[in-house]
Amino acid sequence: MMNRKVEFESIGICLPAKRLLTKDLVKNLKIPAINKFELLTGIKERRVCSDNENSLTLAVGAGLDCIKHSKFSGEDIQLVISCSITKYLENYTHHYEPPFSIAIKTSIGADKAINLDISNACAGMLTGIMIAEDYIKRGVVNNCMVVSGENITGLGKHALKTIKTPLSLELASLTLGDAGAAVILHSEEGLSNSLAISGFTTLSGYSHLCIAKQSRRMPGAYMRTKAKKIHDVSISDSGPIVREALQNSGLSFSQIDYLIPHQTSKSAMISGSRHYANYFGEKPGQVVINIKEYGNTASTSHFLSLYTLLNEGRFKKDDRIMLLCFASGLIVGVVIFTMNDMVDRYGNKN
Amino acid sequence: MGTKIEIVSSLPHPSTKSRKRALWLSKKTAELCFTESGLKPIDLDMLIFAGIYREDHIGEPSIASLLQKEIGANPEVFPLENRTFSFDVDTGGCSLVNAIQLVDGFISSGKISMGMVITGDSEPFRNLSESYNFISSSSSIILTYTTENIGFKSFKSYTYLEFRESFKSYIAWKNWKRKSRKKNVLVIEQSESYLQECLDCSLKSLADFLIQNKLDIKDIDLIIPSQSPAGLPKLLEKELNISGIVVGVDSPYGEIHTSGPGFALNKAWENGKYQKARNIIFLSVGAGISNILAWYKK
Repeated sequence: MMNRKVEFESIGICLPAKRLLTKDLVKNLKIPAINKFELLTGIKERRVCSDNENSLTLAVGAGLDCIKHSKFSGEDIQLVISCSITKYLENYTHHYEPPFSIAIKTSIGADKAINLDISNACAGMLTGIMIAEDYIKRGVVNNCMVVSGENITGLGKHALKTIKTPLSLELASLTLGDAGAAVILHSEEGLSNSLAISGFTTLSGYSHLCIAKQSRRMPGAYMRTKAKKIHDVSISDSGPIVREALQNSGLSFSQIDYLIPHQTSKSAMISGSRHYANYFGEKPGQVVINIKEYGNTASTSHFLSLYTLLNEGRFKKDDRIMLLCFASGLIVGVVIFTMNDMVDRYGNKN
Repeated sequence: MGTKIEIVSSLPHPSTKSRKRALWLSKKTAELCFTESGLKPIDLDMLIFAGIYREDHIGEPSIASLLQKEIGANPEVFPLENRTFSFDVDTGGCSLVNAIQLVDGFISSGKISMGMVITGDSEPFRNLSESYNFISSSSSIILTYTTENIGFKSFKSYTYLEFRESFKSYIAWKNWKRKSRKKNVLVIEQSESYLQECLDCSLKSLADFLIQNKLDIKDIDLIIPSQSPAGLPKLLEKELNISGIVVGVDSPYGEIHTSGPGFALNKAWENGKYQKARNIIFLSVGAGISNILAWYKK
């Protein structure tokens, strides 16, 4: 059983239609250098939920889009794992119980699926994938949908009311964008490659560097981030973990065709790329920066990037892809996989 | 070979009322587990937090990562051979058993040797809740890989979607106590029939679980149930027409939420019933209505 191979079978996303330009978001902030924010972050715009959209509609939309690209129907799905940080319904009403995964599974037609809610900051979906892979390999289920709907731009609304200087701990909240993403994992006879999930570690000594809590003064939450510090320790401490992941897969860094890091800001990802190039003495084929139109979409960022590149026809079969996880906690983890026939089901071909 | 329950702890003593918050209590129950078992946080591979209501409604990072730091479980990347991974499970009243299920899975796969499940609940914004009747409480359990012939034999989840509306909790931005100023208020909505529905669903799930595992109720030495909704353990005992095997914990100051099964396990541990038991059923129930059952065999 434990020799079962597990792969990504399909991916889906859901994006709000409404776009908010960065220059419009920050236009009323009277702090030095705010006009450089778009340049530094690489974020020109992001999607924001309208009144009738929220974490649940994004998650369900992504789940249905995933099923649309899949050979599975909703009722075939055996396990649904909800991984979002935000569980908002209307008006930033944060939902606790019943579990969000129940609402999601019934909305996608998977009433009989086992359901589970987990939360692990921006590492939510990759944590869900780690759990899904374990369930599938042990034969508990044959497939699983990992799904997340992040209605997270409300943190930016709070930030706009409180930011007074460029050193504000809420500045990172202005990089966020709303999105939903879902991925189906499965196992079947004859798979040639399997996901390699490696190195998931929580460097909890840095767990205080990014904290989000419910606001006492307005609907929704706020987030305070020591952005530079979290970036520095992520990059400096993750090298050995990434090296170990590559060794476990029998690969060198230059054999990775696409490296998709957690999408935070352009300057951070470029800086990280340079550090890794020095650390490994080589580079991957391409480092994916997919932030210009979406911002940081929290737990959905890797799958939004994968979906975007699939639809653009950028991948080919057998491309080696690394998803590099960085998240509050501080979490580091690596997922390596080989692109499969999903390339035939997205973009113009679909 | 299997996943062994090494130790359990719970706080506060149910006869006392605590004003401590979820993280503080959770840290204490975790530390108690390590002190009493002699195990070391440096050997912890995985930590899962399974509580729901936490101070300030912290959404990020995971509460598990904050606790991992508090208990000193490998906060740094070095040494590489000692690492801990932590995350939260939010499956309502079934969270504790759900988290045990996940740890057992990773132990079975050989990916980890020691995991810890911690639950903790406390009123997130003090005095800013409607119908919140859960006491501040926490429970922690350490699970390890063992070569002995004991461990969890099976888990099963059940969901009864027809009762989805019977219990809901959410944070609403609303006028508070007739004042014009709005606040973020934790609202609990529980129907009058919720207790009966939880009882009916739990009995149905238990009956199916026993059949699936080729067990009879007479084979069961202990049932470790959720302690909320209040009164559930006593009703279970009455409906099953058995005495002495369903562990109920008297909690005069309010209901014990996600930590309930941990309190029950701790009670059985302290009064010696756990040590004598061979077949133990964990029976958790939560909003949905969901049940997660587990069979632990010694």
